[in-house]
Amino acid sequence: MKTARKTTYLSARAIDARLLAFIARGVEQRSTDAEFGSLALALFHHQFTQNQPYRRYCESLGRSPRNVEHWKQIPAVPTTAFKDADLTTLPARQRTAVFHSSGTTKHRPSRHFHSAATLALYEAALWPMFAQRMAKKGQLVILTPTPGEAPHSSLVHMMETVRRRIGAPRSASVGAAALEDGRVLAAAIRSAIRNPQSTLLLGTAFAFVRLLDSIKSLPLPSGSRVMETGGYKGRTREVPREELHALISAKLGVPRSGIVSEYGMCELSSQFYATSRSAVFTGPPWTRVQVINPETGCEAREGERGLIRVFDLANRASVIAIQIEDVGTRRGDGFELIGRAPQAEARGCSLMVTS
Amino acid sequence: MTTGQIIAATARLWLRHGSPWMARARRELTAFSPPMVELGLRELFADIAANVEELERREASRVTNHQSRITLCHILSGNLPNPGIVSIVVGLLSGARNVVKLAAGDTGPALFVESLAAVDAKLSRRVKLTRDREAYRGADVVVAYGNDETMATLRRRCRQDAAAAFFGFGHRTSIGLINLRNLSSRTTHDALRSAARDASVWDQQGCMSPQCFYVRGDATAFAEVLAGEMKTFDRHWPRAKLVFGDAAAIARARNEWSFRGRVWASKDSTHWTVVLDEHSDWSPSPLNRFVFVRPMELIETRDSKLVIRDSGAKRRAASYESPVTNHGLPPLSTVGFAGFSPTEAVAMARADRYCSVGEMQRPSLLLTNGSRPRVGDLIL
Repeated sequence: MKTARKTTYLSARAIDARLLAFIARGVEQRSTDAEFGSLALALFHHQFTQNQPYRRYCESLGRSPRNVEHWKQIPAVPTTAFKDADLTTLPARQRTAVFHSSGTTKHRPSRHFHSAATLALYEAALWPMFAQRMAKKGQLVILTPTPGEAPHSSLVHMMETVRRRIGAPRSASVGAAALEDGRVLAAAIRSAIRNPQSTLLLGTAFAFVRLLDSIKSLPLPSGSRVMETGGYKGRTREVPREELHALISAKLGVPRSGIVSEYGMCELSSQFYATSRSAVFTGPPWTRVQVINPETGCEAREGERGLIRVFDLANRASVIAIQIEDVGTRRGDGFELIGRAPQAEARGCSLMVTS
Repeated sequence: MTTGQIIAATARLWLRHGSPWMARARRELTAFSPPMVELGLRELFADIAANVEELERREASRVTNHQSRITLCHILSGNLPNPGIVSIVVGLLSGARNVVKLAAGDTGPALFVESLAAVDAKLSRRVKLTRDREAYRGADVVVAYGNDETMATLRRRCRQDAAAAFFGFGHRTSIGLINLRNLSSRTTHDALRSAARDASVWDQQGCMSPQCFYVRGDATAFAEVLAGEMKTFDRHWPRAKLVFGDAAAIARARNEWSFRGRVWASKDSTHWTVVLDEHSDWSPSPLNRFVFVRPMELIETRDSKLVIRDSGAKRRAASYESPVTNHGLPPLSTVGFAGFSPTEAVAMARADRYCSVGEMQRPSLLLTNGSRPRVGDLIL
């Protein structure tokens, strides 16, 4: 399980150059374990050296660049660590952007810091998968707030990056107010599709539910594609993915082959995509996914459930190994998403009286 | 024979070497490992055998013939067998007819009633086992165990559908208070072994299972040695095999706390976990032998007044007459203590029951502890 005995320390600039070259190769071919591992170990060395909370965490586990010899041995931080500490290699003066996790205001959000250079990396990393799984051009309608309304949303930043790459007008994002009313969303889409050009409709699952609940039928032009992402967070009724896609297909006239799901979060810099039919999420070549058996802590076997762990080389300024709180089933190089892992909750003589 | 004598004789059947009842329990109570079932039930039946007749003498003196016409409904939660068995014992001592609504997979109380029939079939006929969700209908008294939501629903239904008296035992948890500065090296070791036992018995499924030990002194050293004791306990009395969701909850909590605090955990399994948390007051445990250790400072003790600084760095004044409110903690069933005086323990946390560490999971039948009704409560 060794990819390299020793890693030499690389500067941020040198790593960025290697990462950008890696990303520029595109997403058609999977990277070899050796090339992924070599860059992963270099990044681990860099992050261990520059990210003090992460270094302390690794040291508490007895891990350091001296004894981590394979990318699978790189200590993964839980996503909650982004709430507990400033998990970044960036000095304060270089932190030009920060992405927050969504959620209730009661809890401290995750904070993922970026510099100009790492934001450029983030933007470079998101495009190839999007272009492959969705499209490189088309009329864009984005069912999210605008960047001005949600400056710390990684999803909104991703959508804005896509908008700029495609060259769509700023009005492509419907804005926060429209998201509160399905009829306004429908009006925005109707207005956009007056020009019968194939449409790329991107939005959160709850925005789609709000839209679909307010329309009987709103057929998009032929060749249109839909990308849904994110959860519901209590904003609308929850609709199982299969049912949501069937509704999208029926009401928006987009075949299932034109619908994709995206999986991302503020703690990651790369995204995973699944077709509507397969439901298996896969990522770009600069990522790896493990599904971890919760009982043994080892990788789950093919078809087994476990906690999802992502290694994302585009997370240059934080930590590349992220232990996610979601449960999935291992499917080849990807995973099928099941949902949130159960959380400790107040119990004690309190099992439900069963029926 | 009196009811108490019959129950004591039944308990002795379970305690006999090679008891077929214990053998069946080891096979049929699949929510726990067989050694855990045997340890837990041995302790329960030893207590019943020793104390049930005294309990009858103390609490059942008011039982009249009228009581035999009273119907008592027990609605069990099924997380562990003890509360159900004790509830039936108390119900029988009250002289009432007992309808017992069993939880799914809860075979312990059913086995106990079967063993009771082997001693006295007539008495066992005063217990009817059922899975009927509406078993409470027609009952004069309802005794229910479960989570707070279930209690609220049942209380409402009982009020609507039956003119029954209702005793609900909802969610509570337990904590330990350890003052290492008052313990010698030998008593510290005893306290650690006892703490591990309390946090491990019945896989932490009961309300008397501690979820956190608040430690005055070197909490890190305490946590480290506690982990070793948890490991030793698990070797003799292994934890049950978990369903995926429970294992995932432990894995998730371990991940979170490995960054937030310090974690000692069983290797290649979720069997036991000790977390040192130096920054917060309380966080629920995913159970199944997952226990927190939090440092606590006693800044001042004067005139029976205490000033406590907990791991959340909050200062609290407390006294025996005016105990601290359990700020941020769920309602407490039991406080186990070592190195503190009972007065100090009472001042530091409000609970239904106080005992030495090591006794938290061994409530005596003779002491009412807030986790079951008194016999007198059931006599109408």
